[in-house]
Amino acid sequence: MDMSVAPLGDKAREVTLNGRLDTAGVDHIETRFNAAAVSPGRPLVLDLADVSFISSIGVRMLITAAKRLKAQQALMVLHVPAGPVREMLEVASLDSLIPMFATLDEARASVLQHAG
Amino acid sequence: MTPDAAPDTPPGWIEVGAAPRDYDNARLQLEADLGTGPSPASPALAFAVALIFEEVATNARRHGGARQVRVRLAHHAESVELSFEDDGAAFDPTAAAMPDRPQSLDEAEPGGLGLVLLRHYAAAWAYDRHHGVNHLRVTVNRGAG
Repeated sequence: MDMSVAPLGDKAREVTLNGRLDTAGVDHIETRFNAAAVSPGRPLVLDLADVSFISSIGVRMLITAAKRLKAQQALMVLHVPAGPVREMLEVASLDSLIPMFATLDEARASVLQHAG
Repeated sequence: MTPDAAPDTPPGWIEVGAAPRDYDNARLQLEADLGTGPSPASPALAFAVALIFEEVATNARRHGGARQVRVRLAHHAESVELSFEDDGAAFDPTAAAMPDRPQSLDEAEPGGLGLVLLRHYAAAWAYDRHHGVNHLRVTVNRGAG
């Protein structure tokens, strides 16, 4: 599980995860992910296009992050193209909790608009 | 069996160790076994098998306190069958109450999601317990997804 972080406009951030978001992946990345993506309290595009697998513990990490950002009035959205990961997130009803976009442009536009 | 005894794994079964590396090795062996079927596994089937494996094995260790977990994959014409055995606390996922789906982030609580996922991805499942061992068989259609 790898992660990269980039600024998005003046106020937002874009975090890209790459690999398997399973028990081992979450154990490996969660501390760094929270430090980079959640603690700053900035609106966030989380790019999951290169995440090949996700299990319930990965979904929990996403929900926890979105909740903590919401508590800081920061929006978190996901970029998840069609595929098995997208289908799993829909089975988990995550699409009713966290905005999900099939393209990165739409995800970025949503966060930038919200960030004003 | 004492905790220090070498795992006595029957042929065809994959021992799922507790350490992350052992766990990954078991996952890779399961992927290899999936590849020996009558036709190539679709990405959706591979995802479903990996997800069921992760949810069941993790649950047995984290919540059931299992010391030994093993899994076996069998090919059928139209489906793949995953069999699990673990020595953790008795737990019948097929009879467990399904949690409500959260309608908002504020309502969303961790827990229970693994069951929702298992129920979706399993075409059929059956649970049994003998001599202190949980037995769970999960069928996934080859055309999954």
